[in-house]
Amino acid sequence: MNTVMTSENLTSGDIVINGSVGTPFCDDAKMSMRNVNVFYAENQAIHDVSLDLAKNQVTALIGPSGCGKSTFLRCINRMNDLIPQCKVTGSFVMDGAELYAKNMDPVLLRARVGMVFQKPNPFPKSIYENVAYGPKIHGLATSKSELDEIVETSLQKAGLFNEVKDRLDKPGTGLSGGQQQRLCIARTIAVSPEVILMDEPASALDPIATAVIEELISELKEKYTIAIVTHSMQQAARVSQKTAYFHLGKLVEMGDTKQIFTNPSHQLTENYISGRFG
Amino acid sequence: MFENNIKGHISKQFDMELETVREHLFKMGGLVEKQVQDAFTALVDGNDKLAKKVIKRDSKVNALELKIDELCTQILAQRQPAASDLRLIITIIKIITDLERIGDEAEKLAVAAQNVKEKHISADREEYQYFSALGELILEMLKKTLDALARMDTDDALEIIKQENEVHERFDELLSYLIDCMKKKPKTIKSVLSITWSARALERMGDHIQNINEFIIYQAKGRDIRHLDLDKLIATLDEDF
Amino acid sequence: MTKQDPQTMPRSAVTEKIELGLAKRHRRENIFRAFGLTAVIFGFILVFFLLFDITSKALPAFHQHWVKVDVNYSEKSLRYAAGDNLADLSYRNTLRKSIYETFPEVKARRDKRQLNGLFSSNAEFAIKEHLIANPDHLGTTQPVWVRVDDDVDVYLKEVEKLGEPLVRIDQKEAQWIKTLVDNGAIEKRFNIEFFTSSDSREPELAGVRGALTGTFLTMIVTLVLSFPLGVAAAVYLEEFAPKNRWTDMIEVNINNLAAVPSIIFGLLGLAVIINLFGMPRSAPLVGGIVLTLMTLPTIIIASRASIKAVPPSIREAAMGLGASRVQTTFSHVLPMAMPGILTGTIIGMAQALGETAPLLMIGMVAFIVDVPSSFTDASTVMPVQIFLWADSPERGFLAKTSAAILVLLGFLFLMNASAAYLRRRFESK
Repeated sequence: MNTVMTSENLTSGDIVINGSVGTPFCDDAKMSMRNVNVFYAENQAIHDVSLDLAKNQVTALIGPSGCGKSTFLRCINRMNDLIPQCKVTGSFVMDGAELYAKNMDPVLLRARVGMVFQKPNPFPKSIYENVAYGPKIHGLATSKSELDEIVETSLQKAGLFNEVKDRLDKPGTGLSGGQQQRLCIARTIAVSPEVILMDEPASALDPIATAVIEELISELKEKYTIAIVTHSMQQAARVSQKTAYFHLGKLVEMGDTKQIFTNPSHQLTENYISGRFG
Repeated sequence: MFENNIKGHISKQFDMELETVREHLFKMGGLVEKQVQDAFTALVDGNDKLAKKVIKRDSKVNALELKIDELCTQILAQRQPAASDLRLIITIIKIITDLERIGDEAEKLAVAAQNVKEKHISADREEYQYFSALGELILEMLKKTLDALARMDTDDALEIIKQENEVHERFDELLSYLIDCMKKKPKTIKSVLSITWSARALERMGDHIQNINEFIIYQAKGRDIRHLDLDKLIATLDEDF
Repeated sequence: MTKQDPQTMPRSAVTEKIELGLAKRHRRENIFRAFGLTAVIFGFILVFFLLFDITSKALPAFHQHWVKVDVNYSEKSLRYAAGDNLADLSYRNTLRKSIYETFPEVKARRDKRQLNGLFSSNAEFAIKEHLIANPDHLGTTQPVWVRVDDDVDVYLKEVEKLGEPLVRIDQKEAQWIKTLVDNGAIEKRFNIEFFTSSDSREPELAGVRGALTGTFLTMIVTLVLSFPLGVAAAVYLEEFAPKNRWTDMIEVNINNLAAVPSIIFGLLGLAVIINLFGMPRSAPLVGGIVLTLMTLPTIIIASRASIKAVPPSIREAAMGLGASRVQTTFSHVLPMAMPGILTGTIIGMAQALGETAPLLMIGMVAFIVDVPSSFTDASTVMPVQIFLWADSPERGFLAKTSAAILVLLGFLFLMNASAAYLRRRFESK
């Protein structure tokens, strides 16, 4: 796969990215990605990335804009299927099953691998409807009371129930930004996924709402495997156990967050983390 | 090089803040070196005036420590440094504590110099030799350490760490000689004790110098090598780099 | 602290420079605003004049003059023999005799004919209906109100001094009318028949019900065909179709279709729908199909724009939960796009509502007296009716034309109002 890389995108300044350093693999992996390449028409967005998402851990994907971290995240639950001309090669394995296999239904996959987006995007419907939508389409509740219960527990897990219990029939778009994002998280966990992907979940929020979301992420990792793309390195340092640094579509370094933020091995990681990128 | 550790941030302001810290650190290093040098000279030559100067100047060292601490705190609060920047700040905060302690030890020497001015060490040729051998060694190590710090040179730092045994050897030599002295001439016990204390201060300086060098290695390599014995230390460094 | 007067505060060179140009900038702004305001006011004035003109011209059409005739239902004049059906009697004769009795001084044949002309040709049917409703009046003389002729009606509405001759009413007729008015035999009534009867050659009898029903039926066909087709096409093109040369071509063609002169669609309707498929001419069904062809591009273009404007984040949210494309489209994208789709639909429907040219081609221009009762009955539509009346020489149709325009505008207003109501409901959801 390395043969497709040109000398131009191999280097950044004089620093060569020669495969990834650190520890991208782990023993208790929930998902394993191997030799992933992603193309948008003629452009290669991801070059030969291999890494694991450790079970019940938060893995942070960091890197400068356009480094491919969001693209990679969206490949994990096949959201990139929606983009014409997007071609994905390599293997994505979750619990031993290949996600890009012909008989893997993306609808089922997305129910198992939920996603939270950068901008809070509640449906223009009531808070209740927002959370109930997922269980409804998948037929997870057989009765109204069962659905009520799913909605309530999901909102509780997202730490939102007490704030909205009196106005479940009010539109979700009327909540504050942070509440909307927690509503989106509640909506995602209402389907009981195994993995939650978060694409810059707090980038549109104020520091207090951000702190609430980060706290929530720390709690959620007890039950879910989480991958989070973030531009805030401090956030990655706070919420994640593993950090992967992407640069120009390549995985430069991956390892324990503690180590990445105090003593990264690769010069590019060092430069990015200490604010010397550019 | 130290320079490389502070240059090249997207925020030039950050570069400048680190540069200010560096200037203060070097100033403090220079000042401490001078303190040790002068205190040692004052003690050996029985120079009361010089000793006084040293005691007076110690407050300057303390003020610099406070200043650098404040600068580092501000950087931590405002810049939330990571990776090598984080290690640099941590290293500086730790190093200045050691520098300040070295300054304190120098002050002790100066105080001792004031006390022993009548029967100063040079009167007895042999104990002078032992004492100044220890002092010269410490001075040389301190000088080398400050150079290593300026260049963030881990090889030099490692060399200095290896010298630690030498310090202990010389201290032990001096000590056994002094014990002999005390046995032979109980009259001299008071002055010999004073020398012992001074020697002890010099030995302490050696320990602080070791600490500084350990932090230089931590900053450069990201490895905490404190409390390792020398063989293990070298093994760790070899294995990693 | 006292605040400094902005005029005396210290200024930098830059501030002074900005100040120099400030007056000019403000002036420009004011001029632009004035322009905008003028445009709006001008538009309002035009609309106001239009409405005022139409309304003032239409008002006479809502009233009709009636004349009282003392009808002598004598068995002789009715040529009634016992057992005859009341519907088959000689009412024209009876009416004439009764009229002559009212004006005994009129002897000459020509005058008599003129006198008869003052009454609507419908009058004989009016006295017939009266007798059928009251069979016991046979053999008695009864006052019966009948319509005046349209010329008399116009004369009565327009003349300033009774007895003076005016258009199509000469001195003699004017005097007769004056006599009738003086006797209290003329009465002005609200013309309910304008809404309840269909087209007629006689202006005093003509109404809009047939055309209105035709319009209604045609619009239903258009809406039922074009809305689902248009939305389905838009949804498919936006959400499901692959983006390639074919879809590009389709898009270009849809845009072109919106610009095709409407009469072409009429020709298409004539050639294909009537001649090829053998559908009945002049029928609302065919009219609706033709108007659908015309409305579709508008609805498709508006719907596509509206679907495109739905934030992709909503789609991502639904897909991310595992909703299928169809589920995403129908439960999230369409409801959010609905206000825009409805706006496009109402614009298209309004276009169709006012369209005449294509309907002329498929025969909806025919003179049709009966109110259409099904989608395949021959009928006409409001704009065609207006066109027909405007084309008629009788002065009575002048007011009717304006009144029909008012009715059409009212219909349009109702349509818009219902769309606005629906839109509001979708938006609040």
